[in-house]
Amino acid sequence: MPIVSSMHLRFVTAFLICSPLALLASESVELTSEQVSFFETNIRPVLSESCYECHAEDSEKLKGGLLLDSKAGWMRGGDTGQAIVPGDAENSLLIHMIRHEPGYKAMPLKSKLSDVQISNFVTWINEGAFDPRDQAVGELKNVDYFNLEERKQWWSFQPIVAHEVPEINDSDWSRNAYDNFILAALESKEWEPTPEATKQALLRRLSFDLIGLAPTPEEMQAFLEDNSPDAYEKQVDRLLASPHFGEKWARHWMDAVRYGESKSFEFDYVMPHAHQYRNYLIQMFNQDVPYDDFIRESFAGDLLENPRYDETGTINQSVKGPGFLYLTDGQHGPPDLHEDEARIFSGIIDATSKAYLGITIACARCHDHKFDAITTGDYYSWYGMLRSSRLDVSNAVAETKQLVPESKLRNGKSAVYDAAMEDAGRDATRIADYLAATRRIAAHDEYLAYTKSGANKQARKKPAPKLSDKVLALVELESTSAKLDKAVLRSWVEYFALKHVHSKWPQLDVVRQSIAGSGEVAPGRGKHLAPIKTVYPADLSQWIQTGLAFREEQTTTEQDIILSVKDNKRVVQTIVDASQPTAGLYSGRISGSLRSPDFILDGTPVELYARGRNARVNLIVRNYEQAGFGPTTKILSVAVNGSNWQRISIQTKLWPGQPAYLEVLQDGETRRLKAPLRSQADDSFVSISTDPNLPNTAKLWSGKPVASVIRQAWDNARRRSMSPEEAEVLGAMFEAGLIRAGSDRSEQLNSLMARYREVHNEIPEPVYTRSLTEGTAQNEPIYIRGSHQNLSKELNPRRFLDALGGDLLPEANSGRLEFAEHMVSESNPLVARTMVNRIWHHVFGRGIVSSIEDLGELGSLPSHPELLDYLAKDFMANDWSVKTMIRKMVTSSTYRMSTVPASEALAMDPDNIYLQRMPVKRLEAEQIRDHVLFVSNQLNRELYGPSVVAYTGDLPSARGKGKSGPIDGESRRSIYTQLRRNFMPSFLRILGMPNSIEPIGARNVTNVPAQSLALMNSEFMRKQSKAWAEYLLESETDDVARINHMHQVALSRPAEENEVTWARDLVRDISELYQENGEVDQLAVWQELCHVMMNRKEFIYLF
Amino acid sequence: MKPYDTSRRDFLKNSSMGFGMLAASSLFQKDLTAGLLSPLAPKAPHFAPKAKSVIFLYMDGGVSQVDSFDPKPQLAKENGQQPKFKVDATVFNNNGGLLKSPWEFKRYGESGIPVSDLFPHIGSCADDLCVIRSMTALSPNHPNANYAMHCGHVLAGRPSMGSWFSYGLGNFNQNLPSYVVVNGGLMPPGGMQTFGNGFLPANHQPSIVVPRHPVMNNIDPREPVSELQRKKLDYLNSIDTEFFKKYHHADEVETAIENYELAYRMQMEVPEVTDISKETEATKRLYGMDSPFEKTRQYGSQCLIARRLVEQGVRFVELTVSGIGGADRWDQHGNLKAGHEKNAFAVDQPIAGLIKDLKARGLLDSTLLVFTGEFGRTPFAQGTNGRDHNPQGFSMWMAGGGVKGGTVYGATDEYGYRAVENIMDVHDLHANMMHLMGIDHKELTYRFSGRDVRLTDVHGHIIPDILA
Repeated sequence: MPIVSSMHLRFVTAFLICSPLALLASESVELTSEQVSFFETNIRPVLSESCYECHAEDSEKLKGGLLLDSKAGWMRGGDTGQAIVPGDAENSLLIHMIRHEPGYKAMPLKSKLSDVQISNFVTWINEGAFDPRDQAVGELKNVDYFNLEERKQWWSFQPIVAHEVPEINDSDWSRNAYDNFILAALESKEWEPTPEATKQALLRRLSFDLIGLAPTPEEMQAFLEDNSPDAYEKQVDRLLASPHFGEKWARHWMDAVRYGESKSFEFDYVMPHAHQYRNYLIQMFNQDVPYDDFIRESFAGDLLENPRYDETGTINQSVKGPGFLYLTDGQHGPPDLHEDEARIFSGIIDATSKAYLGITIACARCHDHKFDAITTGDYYSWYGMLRSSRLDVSNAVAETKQLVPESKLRNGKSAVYDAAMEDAGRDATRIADYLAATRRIAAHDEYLAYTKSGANKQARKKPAPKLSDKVLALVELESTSAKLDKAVLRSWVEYFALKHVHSKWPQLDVVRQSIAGSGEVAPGRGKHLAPIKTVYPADLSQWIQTGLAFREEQTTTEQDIILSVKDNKRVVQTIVDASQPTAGLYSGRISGSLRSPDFILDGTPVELYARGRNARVNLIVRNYEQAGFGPTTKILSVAVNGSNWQRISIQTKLWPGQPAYLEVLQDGETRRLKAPLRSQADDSFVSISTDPNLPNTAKLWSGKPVASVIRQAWDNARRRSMSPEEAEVLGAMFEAGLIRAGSDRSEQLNSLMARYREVHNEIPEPVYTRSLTEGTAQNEPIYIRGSHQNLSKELNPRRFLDALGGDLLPEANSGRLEFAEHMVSESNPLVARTMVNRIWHHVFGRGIVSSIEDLGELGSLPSHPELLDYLAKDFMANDWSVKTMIRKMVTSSTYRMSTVPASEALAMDPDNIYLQRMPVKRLEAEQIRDHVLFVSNQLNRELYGPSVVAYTGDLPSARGKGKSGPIDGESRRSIYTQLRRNFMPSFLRILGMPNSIEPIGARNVTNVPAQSLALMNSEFMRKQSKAWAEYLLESETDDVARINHMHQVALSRPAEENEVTWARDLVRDISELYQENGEVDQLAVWQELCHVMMNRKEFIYLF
Repeated sequence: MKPYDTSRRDFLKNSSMGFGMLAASSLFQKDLTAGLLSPLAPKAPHFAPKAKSVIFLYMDGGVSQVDSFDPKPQLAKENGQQPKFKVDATVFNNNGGLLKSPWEFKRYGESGIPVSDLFPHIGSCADDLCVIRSMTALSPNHPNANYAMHCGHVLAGRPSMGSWFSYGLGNFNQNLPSYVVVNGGLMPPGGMQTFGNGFLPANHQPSIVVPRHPVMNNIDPREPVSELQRKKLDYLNSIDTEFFKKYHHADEVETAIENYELAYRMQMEVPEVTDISKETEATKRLYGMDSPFEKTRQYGSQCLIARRLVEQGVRFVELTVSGIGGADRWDQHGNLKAGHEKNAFAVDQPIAGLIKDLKARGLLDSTLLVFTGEFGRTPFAQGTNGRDHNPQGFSMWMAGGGVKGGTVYGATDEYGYRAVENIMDVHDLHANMMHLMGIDHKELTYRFSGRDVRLTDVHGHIIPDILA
């Protein structure tokens, strides 16, 4: 019996032991001749004709694991179990499929069997599925034999060995142990290493390799003049310390994790905050964060007990680490969200496993890996970890920085509360006057004329209707004569007149009725929002918080005011009942989110009450990141922008049975893809309620005069003893502007607010960053053959890689932190090997294993296996310091060799696998562009910041293209160019920058005429050559000096004599050409020379 | 380890000065470069090809099968009635009753293939067409279906078939790109990734050409004085050659030097090849370039450019359509009649002209024409007068290049909703296109991501019934 995998084994044995059919199968039943004849006439030919192509032992590709060419084959069943139930056609999958019934896969794929054929199959099965083909099932050659122990023997899964440094003959040559390994291999072939490169070539090479930029002429001069024995090492240290170092090395990592900033597909929505991850990488490489810590941050940066902060202690860097995971593509309306999740997770697992482990775990999505020691269980362990985690847009500002002034905030707010209530009393004690004044206005001819026109009724019209100038004039007059606050009275009239205003405040309906009616006694109505039904865990204490915003201990009173630090005239935005989860009690800058546990959608709406400003409630189904606003998915995201309760009801009939969670974001704009991000709103807040019924304000009004109810509520508010109902009403009064508290009319409030604002502004503005947070911990089933519609019954326990021990991860949480620890454990040989190989590749142009992202069986074999292990050990011994590794590599004699080969090595090893010389390297796309900016003296060396919109003026128009950025990209380094996947900058793409979709370890180095065309004819090159010429003509007066300078910046060396002649001849010839065609323009002539210089091969090749 | 390429190196050594010096003389012939240095040098196919080039006529948005090549009298009988068959959820889910075709069908040619009045000119070429009525798409969404139709995969990032052909076969003409998209004005939803080279080397990126000036990015010299560029290139060449002498082992430098000469010639040749002004008036009329409708004239010029490109040995040419006024490509969710009529009017005569012109020039046999959208449209209405996306059955056709002309293959059900007979998918289409070009779709692979990746993934069947 072949062991397909442990899963299959269990299934097969279970079937054989438990099924009564197994007994049936073992009985040898003699078939009648009629039966044989029926089978041979009606069944076998059809099977052979229509099914064997995919369901026979000799099928080129066996489908569904189902054999139909033998009795034993179909008796065993396929991946989805039995296809044929003898005696029961209606319960036989095969019959449903050949009938092409809805919900079943239609078989045969290419055409439908005739009705007669189908009825023959029904007859055949109902009569017991007699089958004379009694040969045994052979080995399933189509299903790969998987034996973990055997697979684990592959070299890269073997422990890292501490190899002795080899002995070499020419010990003078070697500068460090790495050299010994290289030289030993050369000596064994009797090849000599090529001599050292010139100082000029060396510094140029080093500078590009370390910081991606050429040395300045001054840097070169200093190096040439430095005759100290460690002159070169000094340069190495200078460059390693340069802030540009991170810009060069971050880009390599961006390739590895397919960094991109948009979602591709139809509208190519830009992902908010993606650039934070790029900046994080740059900073991480610059700081030389130990690689093991980087891995901890990559998987669990949000979970670290002691996160890493920036130098000011303000920004939590670690939390940005998982930011790459969800830099995926995304559809704006995927028909099947589970399928979409499976696809997106596959991409995440693919990028992650290649980048960190140098193996292709995504290959195990459908079956155990075809070649490597990777099980399907490994794949679904990662899947389970991702399912147990959630995308979060976190505020990276250190919590301590958000909290430092907390006591001051608390005291300050408390004082503001009192002063604000005091001021509000001016209005709250005069409600009767406002009612009367509003009535007078409402009875006025001008007002009646205004309402008769209907202008006040069009609630849905945009812009919303306003009071007419004539009505406003009435307000002005009335407020003066009645000595009322003009702004407040205006609000009263607006509230009374405008439907879109008063319809927002059902709890104030009695107020409106009171204005309309004659008396002051309210009839006691106060209808409220319909009750909600909660299909999710409504106990908010079980919900998951991130950030500080929803902390309960913030509140000092049961009912509290929401302040506005922006609006002087309306210092109190509203009043909230703080027993409901509320964010923004002190400031929108203290940010965070609240998320429900996972629950299963039942197809009925998901409902919730919410109120707030700049807030958002999302229903996240299957971890789907709202990519734009697609026809079916836009309902999953609801803006909360109103202080009064809003009844959110999200239809889910498209997704019954799917897991989901609710997400409440205090600054909801942070997760919005389509709209440009607004600047952080300090006044943002959100409050939610899962209580099926909101406080009923009706009883508050019952039989009492409106003015006294409001006054009573205000009185209680002053004494901090409001009832929830009073808070509802008073909050609405504030929000509707029917009472207010304003710094403009209270000196005390003004000075208290000034003090409060000062403290408030000490809180840094949020730095939002894409990260992860914990969700509901869970194991995922295995998706049989990768199908999300065919799940294993047993869940796959989350664990570390089977081939590396398969240690179980904790059940209680996602296990990411523990997973990261397994990753960096000494018993995992893959991580260190992969990283040192990657570094080696970028330094020496070719990895010791040339397939950087695949150290598995389909990758290439190491050229220097012992060196690889030595490097890996050395890496770990040096505290996983990337800079140390680079330093050792570039200070080796190997690195210092010239690129000129010895003839025998060239003949025997044209690919230079044994490093008998340094390879000639072409600058990468970004380096070419940066070098052009460098020579033209335009390079803007500013670090970090948001991305510069890419130049797309040369791309065809298409959906979602948006505005093009400037041709010169603001002269920023290429790494800061925004990478929109559907609109990649063509200049960089032509020169070989990857497409931001597939993770790439080693770039293709291409060499095509389109590259020449771009360098010859693009607008960018034209502009830069002009800028260079301008600079040259200004800075140098003498031709020779100019020519020399050009060579020094462009090629890192002075012009040779023949080059001076060459350049002068060119200037002369071109001047002549210009002369023939009119005037000679010095600038134009030099521009042409500059352009030619930038097209020289030496400009883009390193020797 | 890859075997040391002696023949090439010997050639260079024997020429004693390497390739750069040759380039400096700048007078060598196309055929000298072929097979020598260019990554786009023609490569031997797996077996004798029927076709040498492909022209892919992409009907972006999705042509309605029941209004073009798949007549369904049943729709007229049940017009306005609710479908009796099970209807899958559509993209907009705003489905009305069955909608009969507003167009009549006529039988054309000896084969008698029925074609609707939308395409009288294409109808007149019926005996050259192999109409496939049982095509299916992998997704009901534009971008996914676009990616699938081009790259065999519903996601962005994979190489498009033009890149695969370029990679597998190279180009006959080293002075022209191997893979050209003649852009009618609109990129399909999904953007440039639809045409992208994915993980294949940048050599196989598409060149986007437009039927106006400048025809291609970076193709026009920017030097203000003519002759100036040549002068500069001569200077560049001389100094680069000098430099290369020092590092004669560096193949890539050699290639880079050569690329400038190739680029220079491309600069000459691309505008030349795409300049249709030299065509006779009769030819232009054949392509509808005297049409009163501007979009017909434009598509006519695209078709003419396509012919000129394949004539010069370009492997793969794709034409995209343009937006037709208010109607958005072929995507008629509403106003089917007006929208399809305009779209058809823009392409019908030009495409027929292309077929006839290729035939007259003896090029049709070696040029494979493929006409398809990313999916079809529903036989029932969206709203009252539109049709929604329909991936489960639609029509496309192929012509020339070794396909069996005058053929109808496969069938949909009586309403034209689902393919029921000889069902084909994009992988089958790609497999057969490759087959006609002499490529075994299972053999043309690229090692990426630990797998030998194919355009057809693990799918694709050769269908003898559609091959001549």
